[in-house]
Amino acid sequence: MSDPVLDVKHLSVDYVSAKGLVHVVDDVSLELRRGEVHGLVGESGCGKSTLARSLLRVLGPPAIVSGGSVMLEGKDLMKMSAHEIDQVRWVRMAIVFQGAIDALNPVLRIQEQLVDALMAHGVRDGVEDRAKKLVDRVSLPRRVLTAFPHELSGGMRQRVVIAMALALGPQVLLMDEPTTALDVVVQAEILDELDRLRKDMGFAVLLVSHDLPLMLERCDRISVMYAGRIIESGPVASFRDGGSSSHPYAKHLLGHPYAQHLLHSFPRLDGPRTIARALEGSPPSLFSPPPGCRFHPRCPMVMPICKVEQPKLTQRGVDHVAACHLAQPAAEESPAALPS
Amino acid sequence: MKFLLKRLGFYGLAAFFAVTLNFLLPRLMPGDAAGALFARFQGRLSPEALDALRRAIGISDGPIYEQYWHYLRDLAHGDFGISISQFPAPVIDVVWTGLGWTVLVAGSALLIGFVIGTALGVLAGWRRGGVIDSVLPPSLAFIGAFPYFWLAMGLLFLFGFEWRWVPLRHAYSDGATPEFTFTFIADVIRHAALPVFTVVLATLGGWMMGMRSAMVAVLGTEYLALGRAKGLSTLRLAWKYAARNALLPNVTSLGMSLGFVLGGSLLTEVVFSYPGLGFLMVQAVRSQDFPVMQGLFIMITLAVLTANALVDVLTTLIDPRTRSREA
Repeated sequence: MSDPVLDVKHLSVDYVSAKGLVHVVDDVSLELRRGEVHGLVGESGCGKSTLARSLLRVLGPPAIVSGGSVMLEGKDLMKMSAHEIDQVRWVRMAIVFQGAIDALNPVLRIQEQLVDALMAHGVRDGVEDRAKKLVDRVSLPRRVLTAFPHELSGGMRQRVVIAMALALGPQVLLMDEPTTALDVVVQAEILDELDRLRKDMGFAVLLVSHDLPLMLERCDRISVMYAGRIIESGPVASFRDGGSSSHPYAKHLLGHPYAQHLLHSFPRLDGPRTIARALEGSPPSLFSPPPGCRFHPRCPMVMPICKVEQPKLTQRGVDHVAACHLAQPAAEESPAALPS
Repeated sequence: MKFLLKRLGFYGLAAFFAVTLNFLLPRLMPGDAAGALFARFQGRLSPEALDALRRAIGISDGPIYEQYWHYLRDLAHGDFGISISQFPAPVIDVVWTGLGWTVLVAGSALLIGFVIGTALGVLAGWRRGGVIDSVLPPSLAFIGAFPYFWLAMGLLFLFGFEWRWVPLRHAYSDGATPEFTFTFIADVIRHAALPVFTVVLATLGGWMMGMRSAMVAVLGTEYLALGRAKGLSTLRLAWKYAARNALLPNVTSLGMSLGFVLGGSLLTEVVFSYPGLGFLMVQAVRSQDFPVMQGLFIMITLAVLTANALVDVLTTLIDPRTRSREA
């Protein structure tokens, strides 16, 4: 285990609204290790995008970071001045949005949008050659340089956004739903391309998505978010194993019932035939989250303690943590005692 | 290029229809200009004189297609007939003079209002909730809520009558002769200042609010967040990313306003007795000067079409998405 390149500790992000503060990201800690792909997964509205964007401080009002630290290579981004963070942005850490929608400025040619990032960080010489190399690197023809965004397909635009993000060789790449608007074929092409680039350049990726099967295939580690909190985090293998049993809780697991449900809400193409189950209910309102464990109103395994006490993230296995009373080592029903 | 040619073709067609309509409308109405003039002399003209008048004004009893042909031919030569109220001045001269003054006052007021209002909108939108954003929109909305003629007359009373800072009426002093000298130009500017100022004051709020809300919409886009994440300078972000995109809807409204300016400067010109197209129109209606009215209609229509064509070109220049792929 190498030391983390990005170390998020107790980060909280609030939205100021007419009804008061909403804690969209609540006391989240997260480690991104050098060169790894870390998946951040959760339902819509769980705060995963807000978390990713708050790391580079690109959230505008009404969002405010209300606490915590984000250490990037030993420096706290949250304590930096506006000028200091501009020096870090794109150079040490870059972000990729859904390029297929509107991540590119519609009135500027691609070349100008690649070059302005370089120029903003003091690169003056040979910027046009560098722009050419960048589009080569993501396997795009050079004619895209003179094109406007609306003249490119969704997949091409996504490649442009990735080329842009790699312009200054960052150590960390945040990817906010990078392939959500693309069809599966283009999605696979882009993620393969990204794997290749990662092997060449050695950056770490924080991949934000709601697509758990995709994450299982592409990530080294996965963190699951629910209602603003991380409820489970571990190596991808421990999630895969949990998902392959015919009954979600049979073998039991390290895991949190919510993560198990996520796994079982997608049909599998391999392994035994199982029914894909939808999780009932909807994510809680962040204005008034339920007391205790935030998942308890939807949890099929709910126990009395879940309604009053918030479970803490505890060690479940090698490198694996989860926040659930069910699998608490001290709980009366220990995981090992469950019938198989 | 192909796109522009297509647009120009469209404008040519629209102009043709306007010209034709302008020919048909007076002929669908009872009576004619000569009859109206004849009536003004209350029987002191002989029927022979009426016939002569009809010929002079260009009214013939020939078949309609022949009249139409003559009308088009005269139009191509810039011949709109003879003014009745300012007999025997040709309509074309009367209208040209009016057009010049209107373009001077209404055109500069529109451009000044657009530029200042848009700039203020950029500032207000970029710093939402800042000083500019909190003070200007309500005050400008307050001013804009007054009926325009009331505001204009009030200011004319204060600045022109009470304090005598500006002249009360007309485009230049009574004794002055139009010539290209510093004195005359300064005189024209002194006369145009208050009319321009009142129009700017009344329209500033609209431009500012339009630009502000367009800015606010652009501030929520992904490309702005990405630009910020790239570490771009505030200047580049505010101008090339935010304002450049927010400008597009405002330029479209500019084109629509250009049209209203020519017809809509009527109130300004009446309040300030300014000899532009609007003032001419009121006079022409009062004196039943049909040839001048007809000439004005044609002139206004053509001016609106030209203005819109210009804005089309401008939009094409600033928004790549309106260009066709082969542009």
